[in-house]
Amino acid sequence: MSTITLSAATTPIRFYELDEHPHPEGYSTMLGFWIYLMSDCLIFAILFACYAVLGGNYAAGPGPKDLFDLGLVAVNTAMLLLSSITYGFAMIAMQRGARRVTQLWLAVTGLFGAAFLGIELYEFAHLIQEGATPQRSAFLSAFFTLVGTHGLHVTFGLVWLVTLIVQLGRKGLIPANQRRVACLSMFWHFLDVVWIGVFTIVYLMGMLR
Amino acid sequence: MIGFALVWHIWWLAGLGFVGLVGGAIAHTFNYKRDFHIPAATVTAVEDARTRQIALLGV
Repeated sequence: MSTITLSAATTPIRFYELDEHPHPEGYSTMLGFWIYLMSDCLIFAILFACYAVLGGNYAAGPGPKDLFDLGLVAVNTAMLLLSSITYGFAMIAMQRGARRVTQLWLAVTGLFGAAFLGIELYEFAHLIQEGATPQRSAFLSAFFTLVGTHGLHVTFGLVWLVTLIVQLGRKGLIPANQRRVACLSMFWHFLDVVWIGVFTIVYLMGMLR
Repeated sequence: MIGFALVWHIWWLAGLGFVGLVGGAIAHTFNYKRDFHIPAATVTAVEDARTRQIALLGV
């Protein structure tokens, strides 16, 4: 076995990196946020898989045809899709450097998001009133878990949105805020894509069953 | 606090804790000066001093 001895006290051995390398502020934010989004995607993948397995087990209870009101869900979907478009307008305004316009479009996005949540909560309340609670059947457990998780994401997106509007008002379109708006944009569009999946698999295919 | 409240079913405390948790996270996002920079020269000086001390101890 060889031993390493430190020879002289005056000439220290250097075993660490001496070169400075750049760490610009926020240089890893996008990578980190993508990793978060994809892990979130895994959660939804699991919930979709659960729904695919359990979605047909009605336990002699109500099925999709008895419960879902496609007209209402279509309005709901329109709300979320429109909120994605208005978020796109907010991004364009941000790139032009127009702070007030960005805030305005973000606020419009928030209103559409709130409308989506309101309709979803109305639907949930209606279902529970009819006795179609999560405890009723495996189908309803999977349904409430999947759609509820999506709704929770939208709720937190709304909290984030309001925070960002306040922060834009305080600090303006500084790089840190631009990064945050871009992250929320990805989150918001991601939720929209997940909702397309929910709308197709839960509601449309549920009606075909 | 949330953990304690959830274990013992103290729902009002769990709600309070959750609001505090999210509120605290949001409050921290209003602090924009999150980074600090240690120049390589400082790292070199500190590490050299440490190496010298170890060498003097003869470990």
